[in-house]
Amino acid sequence: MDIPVNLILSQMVLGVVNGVLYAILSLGLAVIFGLLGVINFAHGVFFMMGAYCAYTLLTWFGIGYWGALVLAPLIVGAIGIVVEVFLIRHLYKLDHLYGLLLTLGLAIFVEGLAHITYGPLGLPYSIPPSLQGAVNLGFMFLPFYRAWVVVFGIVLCVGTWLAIEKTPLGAKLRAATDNPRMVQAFGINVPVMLTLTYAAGVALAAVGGVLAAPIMSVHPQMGVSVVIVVFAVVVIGGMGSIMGSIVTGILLGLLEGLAKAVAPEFSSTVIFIFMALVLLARPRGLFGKVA
Amino acid sequence: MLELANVNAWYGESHVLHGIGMQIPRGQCVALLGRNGAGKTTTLRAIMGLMPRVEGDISLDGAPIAKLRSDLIARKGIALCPEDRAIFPSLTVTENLFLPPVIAKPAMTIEHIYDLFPNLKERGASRGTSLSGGEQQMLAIARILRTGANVLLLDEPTEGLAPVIVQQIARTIREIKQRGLTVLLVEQNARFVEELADIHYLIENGAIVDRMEAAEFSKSIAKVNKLLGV
Repeated sequence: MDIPVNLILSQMVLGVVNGVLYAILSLGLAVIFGLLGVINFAHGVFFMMGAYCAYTLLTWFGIGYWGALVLAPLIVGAIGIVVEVFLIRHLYKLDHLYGLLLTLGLAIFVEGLAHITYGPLGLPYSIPPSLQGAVNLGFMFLPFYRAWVVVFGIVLCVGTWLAIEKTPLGAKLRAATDNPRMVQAFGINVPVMLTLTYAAGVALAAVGGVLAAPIMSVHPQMGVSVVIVVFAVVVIGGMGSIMGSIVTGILLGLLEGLAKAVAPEFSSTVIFIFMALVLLARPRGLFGKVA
Repeated sequence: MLELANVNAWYGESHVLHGIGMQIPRGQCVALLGRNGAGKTTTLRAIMGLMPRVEGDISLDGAPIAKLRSDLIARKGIALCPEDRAIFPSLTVTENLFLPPVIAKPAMTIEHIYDLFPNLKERGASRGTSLSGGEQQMLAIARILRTGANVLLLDEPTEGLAPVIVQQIARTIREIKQRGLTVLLVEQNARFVEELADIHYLIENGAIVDRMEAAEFSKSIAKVNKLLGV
């Protein structure tokens, strides 16, 4: 087998782009699971809603990419507030399975709604003019837009990690993950904190959707294709681990890219083989804490 | 005044508090003594809004608080220092200390709190759970002092601690009293509360069985110890 080094390198770079999207999505998923204990199967449709929001803002209101990058997470976050208050809040005292089933049902419903409203076909979303073009890395031409996704995604992930690990608000979130009843007895309004955390988690998914819109076509199933991988990221990284999600997301993107170059037929399964190996060797995940 | 009148509480089907009545006047230290399982911690949890089902009247300065959420009760100036200390393992000492919001001007400044418990400053960057049991207790007390709460519920603050630490906690409670704060002190150690409390309630099987002023309590230590099984 003789695989050109350029092909391997270029697939790995493209893998990092996917990895950053996985990291953004799994970050939101990990925050939601860590604090709310909800396995948010609707995370993929919030990603899709971010992309459709960007498309709708452009085609209906003439608001371009940069505006969408700000507005779509706010809109989807507001929808997240409604979902948490009217649906998810009522499941906190029940087994995690109920949350998974509810959010799975919600995902199927929203996906159907997108299918009816926008049709089954992929809709195009252009790269913003300021990010068109490519840079020559020697072994490949890297589109500016993909480089932007990597830089912005990493800044977003690190910023979120810093906010959770190094700020007073993050300390409240971490404490509420440990013992929500006691945190509330200290005078902190935990129900509002849970609502805002869910909204922030799904807003992150929406950011991922806006970033992905010019790379993927915008279609109803775009969330489904990534959410399975993102769940694998969260499991490998360690359920609820923020840093685990970021590092594992990028790592799995790289692994997937490498597999596309070396053994394309395994590229879609390599992540799950890796997940099985990690779970056998370290059931709590790479960054997970002992229960 | 914090007042409980005919307070009943349940865990599921289990009726655990039976008509508790207590008065905790402003600026005084009131002790609640009883054996393990007598209902001391449950009484504090009922005041703090942490019980699944409570009936009866709990009021602070005449305003009912029994039906309020625990965060709203805390914002009225009542703070709980729980038996397990509730030091959050994922937070540093400083993060634990600064976790609860400040609800009023504290009776002690943070500098004074650090003077009282210098280890909390020196080990501020360490994980809260890496502290010794005594230091964790100091942290738990310091944490509620910083909030400006003026009614402190202390749940067995001396449990499992070395005598030298117990003395330090006694000094701290005396200082808290001198600053005019109200303390409800749950204990099993009659000798410890004898010097500190103005009023003593005895609890058995979820019901108050006796109430004594300080002078009477000192004369009845033997009887109290018998009730406590000491």
